[in-house]
Amino acid sequence: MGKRAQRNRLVQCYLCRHRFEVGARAMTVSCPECHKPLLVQDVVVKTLQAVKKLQTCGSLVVQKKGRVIADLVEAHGGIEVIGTLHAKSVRGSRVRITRTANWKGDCHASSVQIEPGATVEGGYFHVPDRELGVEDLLET
Amino acid sequence: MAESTATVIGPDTVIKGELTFNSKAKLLGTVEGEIHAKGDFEVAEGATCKASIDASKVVIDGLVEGNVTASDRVELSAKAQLRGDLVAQKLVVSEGASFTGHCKIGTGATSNGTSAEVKPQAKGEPARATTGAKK
Repeated sequence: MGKRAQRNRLVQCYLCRHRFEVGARAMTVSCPECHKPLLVQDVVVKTLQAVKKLQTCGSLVVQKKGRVIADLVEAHGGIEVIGTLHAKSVRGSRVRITRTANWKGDCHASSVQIEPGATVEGGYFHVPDRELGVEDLLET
Repeated sequence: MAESTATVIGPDTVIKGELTFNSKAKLLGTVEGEIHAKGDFEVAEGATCKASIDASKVVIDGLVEGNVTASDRVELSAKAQLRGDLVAQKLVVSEGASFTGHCKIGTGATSNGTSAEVKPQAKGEPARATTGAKK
């Protein structure tokens, strides 16, 4: 029982910013504050994903052949881009843009890491963005 | 051996105006104005650069307030603070670096148009984001 309690993780609702604990293996939960359904699992994009919003309390990985086209991308657990990410606004804790990545859009993150060779097409970068308030989530 | 001589601006130096370097340069003090360097330009830790920088390679460890244009690459270390727009062929950002401004990176970034394409609003001030700001 003690072990299970330790595996809980702290997440922050991406709609109302309320913080609460969820099980380590939880995929979706309802926010106890705003009662909205939330995605808390890690998302891996392997192919084209054209959506309006892609939001999760977990992490997002855009793989080499993955392509995300969205208005808003938000992943509190961190974002790693190996393929293509085109979005109007991207919000995350730690953002890693690898050498093969193609990035287009604004970036609001607590930290960003860009490897040489990455293509970044005219985005507005705000790093660190303390308004998100997610930088301490990764430390817990 | 003598080719690698670099111009070093000391830590207790304040320069206002336009600076042009024909080779490597390293900033340890404070500069306000414009910087043009044919070689590498380094802003060391603790240095303050309130100027637009135009060089082949720019390494930032300190504070830069101004637009940066590099024909080759820009490196932001973990302690770097950049407030301004950035145009370069390659960008390396270490985790922990602070960066506020527009960014255009890639092979075509410096060839067609330089920082004019990023359209900075004011000198030393990064342009505001326009995408997704409509309400």
